[in-house]
Amino acid sequence: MRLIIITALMLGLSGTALADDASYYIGARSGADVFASPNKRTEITAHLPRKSSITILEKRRGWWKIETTDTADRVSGWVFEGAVRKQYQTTRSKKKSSFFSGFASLFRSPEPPRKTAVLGVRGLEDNGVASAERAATEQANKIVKWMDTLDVPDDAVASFIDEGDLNP
Amino acid sequence: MKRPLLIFLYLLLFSTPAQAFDIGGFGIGGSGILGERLEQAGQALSLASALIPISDEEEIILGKRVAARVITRYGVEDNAATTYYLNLMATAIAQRSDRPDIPYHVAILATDDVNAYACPGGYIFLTRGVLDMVRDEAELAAVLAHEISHVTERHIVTALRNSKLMQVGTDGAAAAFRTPGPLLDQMTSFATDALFEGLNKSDEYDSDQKAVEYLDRLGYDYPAMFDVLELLESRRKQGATKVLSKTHPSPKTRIKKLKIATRKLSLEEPTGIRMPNRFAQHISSPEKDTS
Repeated sequence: MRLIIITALMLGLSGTALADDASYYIGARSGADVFASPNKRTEITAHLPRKSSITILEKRRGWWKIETTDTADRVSGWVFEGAVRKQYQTTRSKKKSSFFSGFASLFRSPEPPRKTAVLGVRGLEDNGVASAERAATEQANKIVKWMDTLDVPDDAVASFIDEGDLNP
Repeated sequence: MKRPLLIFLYLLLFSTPAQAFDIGGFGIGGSGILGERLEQAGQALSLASALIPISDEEEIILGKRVAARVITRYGVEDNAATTYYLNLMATAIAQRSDRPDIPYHVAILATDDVNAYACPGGYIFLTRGVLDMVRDEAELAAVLAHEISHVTERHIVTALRNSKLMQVGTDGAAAAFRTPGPLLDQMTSFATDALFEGLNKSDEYDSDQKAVEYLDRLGYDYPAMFDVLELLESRRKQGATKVLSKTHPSPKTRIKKLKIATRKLSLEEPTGIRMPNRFAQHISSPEKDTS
């Protein structure tokens, strides 16, 4: 048992070479210092500003060996793990949104209501109640179907993030 | 590890009553309304039922049915511009969440009550009341992130998986989703009750913490989550959160718990990104909407 624990510890503590296709960037507000080796006392070889795109080459006890991908003068070295963020990418369909067209048709009626699908069944006879409930359920199901069309295009999300100076 | 110790641990684990496995916070000792209901009804959890999977596709089938019931209760506001803005923000948050691979869709409920609902499968609803309460984009993002995290953490689905309904077994559950019938109706009612009557308190604390994490990942000023809870407390005193107060722990307790939880997270320095102007541009009341 002791041997297994020691082996596991050694595996955990040793550096991990990566074959990771995901993209990463410097997420810390103040950017990140790049060190010559995974030790704070070693030389700082460069400073990367926030949002610099990087590739992760190796991970070792809270330090990540990185290489920049978006600069002409390629920088490589070690940065603190905490300064790095993963570039999240949606795996969803990239189809264009039918957002506004779907919305208009859903609420179209002779007197377009601002609020829809609210049950108003008080005072109706039993079969009237049942039919009002059916109609309300039908209308609710239509609204759910409309909600399914509310996909926003990836480029719109990217612009939204960029304009807000949020993390890409 | 010594063998007697291993045997002791094994016995300890498997001799514990199934009810004590508070998976998702709905076991015995759960303090939420639904948790109490399950306890009263004798719907004891079982390890076997906890193993029954519900796929993303099945969860979305369930979510559509629950969402329809939410819409039937409140109605949806016809406000395309604000709805689009909410969906942009929800997608941005969801892409950085722990469950980015399912679609998330948001609509506005036509009620002035301050509340929000997260149905299984990514159907999120914010009330007009909550939109009128928050003051900037970061606070709105905090509300959305909290709701999204109920989906990412599968709070309702976990409760369902541990309910008596799932004693039909894996095949029975899968059949119920394939061919809608009484069992799927019961599952829908269970999930809707969970939504309207309140999740376990621990799920709410969990979602508060996750919301802070998601805000931090996206770069919003995460103290906005605390500000939303402060706002809820002030609205509670004004009597504007009657439904929410019945289904959620008190905002004061949530703030206290969240402060403790955030100390354990490795968060960036708050960014200060609040965006009150962009928020004001996009959040319009239905009367002002010209779409």
